[in-house]
Amino acid sequence: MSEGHEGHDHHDGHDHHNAPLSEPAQRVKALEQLLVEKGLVNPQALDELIDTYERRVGPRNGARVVARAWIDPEYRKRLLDNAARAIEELGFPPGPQGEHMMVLENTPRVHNLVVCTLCSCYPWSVLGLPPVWYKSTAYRASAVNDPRGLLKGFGVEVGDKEVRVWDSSSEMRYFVIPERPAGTESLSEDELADLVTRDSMIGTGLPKSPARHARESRAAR
Amino acid sequence: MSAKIATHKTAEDLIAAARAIAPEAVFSEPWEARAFAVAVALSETGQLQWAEFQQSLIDEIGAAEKTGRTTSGGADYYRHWLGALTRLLNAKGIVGGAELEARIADVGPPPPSQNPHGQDPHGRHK
Repeated sequence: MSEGHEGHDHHDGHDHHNAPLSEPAQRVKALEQLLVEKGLVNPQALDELIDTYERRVGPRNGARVVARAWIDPEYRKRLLDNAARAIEELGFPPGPQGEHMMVLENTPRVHNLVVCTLCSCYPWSVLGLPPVWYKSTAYRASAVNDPRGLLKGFGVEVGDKEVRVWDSSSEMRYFVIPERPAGTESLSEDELADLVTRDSMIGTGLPKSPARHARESRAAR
Repeated sequence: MSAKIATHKTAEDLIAAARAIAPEAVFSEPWEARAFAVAVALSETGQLQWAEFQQSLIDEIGAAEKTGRTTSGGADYYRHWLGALTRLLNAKGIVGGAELEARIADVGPPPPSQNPHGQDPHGRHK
């Protein structure tokens, strides 16, 4: 891992190499230089995109959507009807991977699991960029070959529920609305959003119980 | 699926390994972020269509997996991403392959044999 690259990063092609760049890093640097010279990309725009996807867009967005759907049946209906529009209502624009989106409701009888078998399609606008494992050959293959075994590996017990596996593509992204945990009737929308994990919106996890959330918050302090 | 996972345990182990690489980080090295951003920026300005980039990425990953080369989903995945991007830009005549290789030779450090000081004392391994 290279860290602390900021502060001695140059875009002018006159670098003094403190550390040799790895082969892919050289390729990317050369590509970026050429595209900048051709006037096709702007380095500041690249910095902003990276900042957006590293810091601003992430599963907190999706958690807000889920919490709203849990407390507001009208919103839930709009979300099921036109997910991209209902998500935008909360201030999260679709972006390049969010134009065609469908939400999948978990119920007492159905557990949904999202995968992209061919590459790594993922609902960026609500979950940010996918975790490493989501892109691995192992996850992409076993979600199809053995979804129950995969869920067990993630510690998710689904009992005799039907497991539905959804294969994302450039035409359609999926995102799971998990079941609202028991004992959360008195919680506010913000408190509910704190229970919604990234994995629960992929289908490889479940929302936290209020007790688990309290335990983890105490441990983090 | 072209990639076959031999046994259930193997799949679980591989997923566990992939989950251990970077449970939360979006990028493991700065170049991955640059490669990501270049593709998104070019699609935002209409230089490439997201769907055609996606197809290029699918081809790239598919070709590797067909020969049994799996991806852990980390830096190796972004190598596919970069391969898909440069191949597409070459096909569209936006950045030619020869042009890119020439520039890579310019930005790259000189090979150790041409470097009078030998190995860079601050050199880090990836």
